[in-house]
Amino acid sequence: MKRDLGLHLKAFNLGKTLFSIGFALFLGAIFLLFLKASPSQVYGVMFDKAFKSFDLVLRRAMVLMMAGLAVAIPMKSGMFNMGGEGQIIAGGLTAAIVGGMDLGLPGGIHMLFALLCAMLVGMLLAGFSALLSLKRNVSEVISTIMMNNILAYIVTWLVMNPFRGSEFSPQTKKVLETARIKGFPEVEFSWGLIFAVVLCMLTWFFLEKTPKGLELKAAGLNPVASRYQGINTARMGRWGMLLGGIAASLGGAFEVLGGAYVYTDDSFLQYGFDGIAIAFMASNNPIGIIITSIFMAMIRIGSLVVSRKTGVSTSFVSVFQGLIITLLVVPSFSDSIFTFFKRIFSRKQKMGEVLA
Amino acid sequence: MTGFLSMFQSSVRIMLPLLFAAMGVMLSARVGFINMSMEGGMLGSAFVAVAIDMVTGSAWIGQLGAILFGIVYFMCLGFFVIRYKGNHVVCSLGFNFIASGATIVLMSAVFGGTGYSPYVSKLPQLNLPLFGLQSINFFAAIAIIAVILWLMKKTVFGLQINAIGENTAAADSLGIPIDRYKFFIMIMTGVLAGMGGSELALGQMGFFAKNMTSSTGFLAYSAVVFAGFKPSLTILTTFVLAFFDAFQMRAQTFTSIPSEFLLTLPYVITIIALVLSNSKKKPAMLGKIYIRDQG
Repeated sequence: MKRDLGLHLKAFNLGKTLFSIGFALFLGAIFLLFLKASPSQVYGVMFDKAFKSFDLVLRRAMVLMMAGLAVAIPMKSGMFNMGGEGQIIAGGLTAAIVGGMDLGLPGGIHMLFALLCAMLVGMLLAGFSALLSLKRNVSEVISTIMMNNILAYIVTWLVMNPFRGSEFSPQTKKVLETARIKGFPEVEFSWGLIFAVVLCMLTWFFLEKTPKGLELKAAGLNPVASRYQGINTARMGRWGMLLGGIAASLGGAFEVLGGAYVYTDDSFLQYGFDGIAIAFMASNNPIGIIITSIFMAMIRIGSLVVSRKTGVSTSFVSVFQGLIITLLVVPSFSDSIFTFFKRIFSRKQKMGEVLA
Repeated sequence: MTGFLSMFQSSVRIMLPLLFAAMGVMLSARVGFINMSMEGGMLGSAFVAVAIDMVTGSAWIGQLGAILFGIVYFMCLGFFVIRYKGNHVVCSLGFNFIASGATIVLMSAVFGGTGYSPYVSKLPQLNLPLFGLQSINFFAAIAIIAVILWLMKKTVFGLQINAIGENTAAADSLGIPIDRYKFFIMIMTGVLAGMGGSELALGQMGFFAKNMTSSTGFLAYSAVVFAGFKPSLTILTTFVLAFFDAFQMRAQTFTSIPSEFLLTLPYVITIIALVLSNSKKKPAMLGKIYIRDQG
C-alpha cells in the first residue's frame, strides 16, 4: 500500500551530508542578504556563541538526535512521522511525572522505569497514527500533525493542573535524585548524550547489518517488490513508526531526566520539526544524524544571541530548515547541484595534476 | 433560538477561509497533487495582505497582493513538484516551514513588534439577513464555488483535469498538456490560498499574528478527504469543522470543561472524520509521480 514517492532513501554518504550542511549555510546567507543583514556578522555571532557554550550544544544535540531518528526510521520503512513534536513533549512529561513520584525504587531502576514509561507513551502515540494509516488509510502526516496540536493542549493542561509542581511557573515537580541520569562535572550534558549516540549507532547497525533492518528498508524502497519477496510491508511500516515514536519520546525523557530535571510547558518548542530537517540533511542515515544534529544544535543555540546582537529574529532558522527540506528532497535537483560541484572539484584536481 | 442563529453565523465566518483553502486543496488533488502547503500559502498571503494594506491603506490592494503572492507561492511549489518531480508531502511541508519562518522574521522588519501587527483597515463588512456580519468575501466565495462547480462538472476542461488525476498516462496519450494544466491548477490554488489568507487577515481579524492560520490548511486537507474529494461535499464538511470550532469557542463560556480540552475539539473531530471517511475514493494518481515512458 505504501509507495515509492521519489524519497531520498540512499545510503550514507559523508560528502553529501557535509555538502548539505554547507548548502544550508549558503542558502541562509542568501536569505540574510535579503534581510539586509550581513551573513558574516550573523554567522560570526552564532558560531562564536555555539563554540563558547559547546556543552549546551551537545545537550541540545542529544534531544535532536532522537528527534532525527524519529523521522529517519519511519521514513526508511515508507512512513512519514510528523509527530515528533508531540511525541517528544509527551515523553518528556511522562518522564517528569514518573521521575517526580516517590516509588521507593532504588536509583537507576527508578530512572529506567521512567524511561520505559516514556517509551511506552511514545510507542502508543506513534502506533495510533500507524494503525490509522494502515487500517483506515488515513494519511499518517495529517494524523500526526493533528496529534501534535491535540497533545500540545493536553500536555499544557496536565502541567498546569494535576501535575503542577510550582506555584509561579507552568512546570512539574522536580525529578527525584533516584530518577536522574548522571551528569558529568562542570558540563551541561549528561550520560543521556552517550545513550543517544549509542542509539544512533545501534539503529545504523540494525538497518544496515540485520535481516530485519533490510526488510524494513526494502518495504520503504520498493513495496511491490518487497511484497513479492514475502515481506509484510504493512507490518514494517508499523514497526518503523513504533521505533520512531520510541526514539522521539526518549529524546524528551533524556532532556528531562538528564538536563532540566523538570518539565516546563513550551520547553520543547520546534524540536520535532528540527528533527525533520536533521533527518533530511543526513539522508536518513543514523550516523549522519549524529553530525547534522550537532550542526542544527549549534545553529539553535547560536541563534539565541543573534536577535539580541544583530536584530535578526531567531526564526530565520526555520526558513532555511524549509529550504533544506525542499531542496534536498528533490533528488534530481540536489543531485544535479552535487554533481556540478563534484565535477568542478575533480576538474581542479586534474588541473593540479597537469600543472604538477 | 438567537443563540443558535449567532452560532450559525460565527460558523460561517470561521468556514470562509477554510472553504477557500479546501477548494484549493480539492483542485490540486484532482490533478494528483497532495497539497499540504495550504497552511504556508495562507499564512504568507495573510502576511502580504496586511503588509500591503498597512502601506497603501487599502484592503482591496492588500487582497490583490495576497492573491498574487498565492500564485507565486504555488508556482514555486509547482516548480519543485511538477517540473522536478519532488515528493509532494515533503516539498509542501518544506514550503510551510519557509512561510512560517519568513513571516516571523519579516514581521519584526515590517511591523516592528514581535507577536502581532498593528490594526489595519478591513475589507467592507456587510450585515446580511440570516448570515449576519460577513465580509464582502462572502459573495466572492459563492461566486468562486459556482465557477469551480461549473468548471468541474460541465466543461471538457474539468473532465480533462479529472483524467489527469485518475490516469495521467491515459491523459497524456490523449494529448492533454499535463504539465501546463497542472500549473494552471496551481495558479487557481494560489488564488484560493490568497483569498483564504486575505479573508482571515483582512476580512475578519484586521491584523496579522504569528502562525495565525493555526493548522487551517491541514484542517482543509482533512475536510477534502472527508468529502471524498467531491467539490460539493467539501462545502458541507468545511461547515461541519467550522461548526465544531465555533461550538468550542461558545462552550468555553458556559461549561466547566477546561478550555484546553475544548480547543482540541476541531483536531479530534478531524481525526474521527478521517477514520470514518472512505479515503479509497481518492484520485488514483494522488501523490504519485508520473514520468512519461520514453520507450
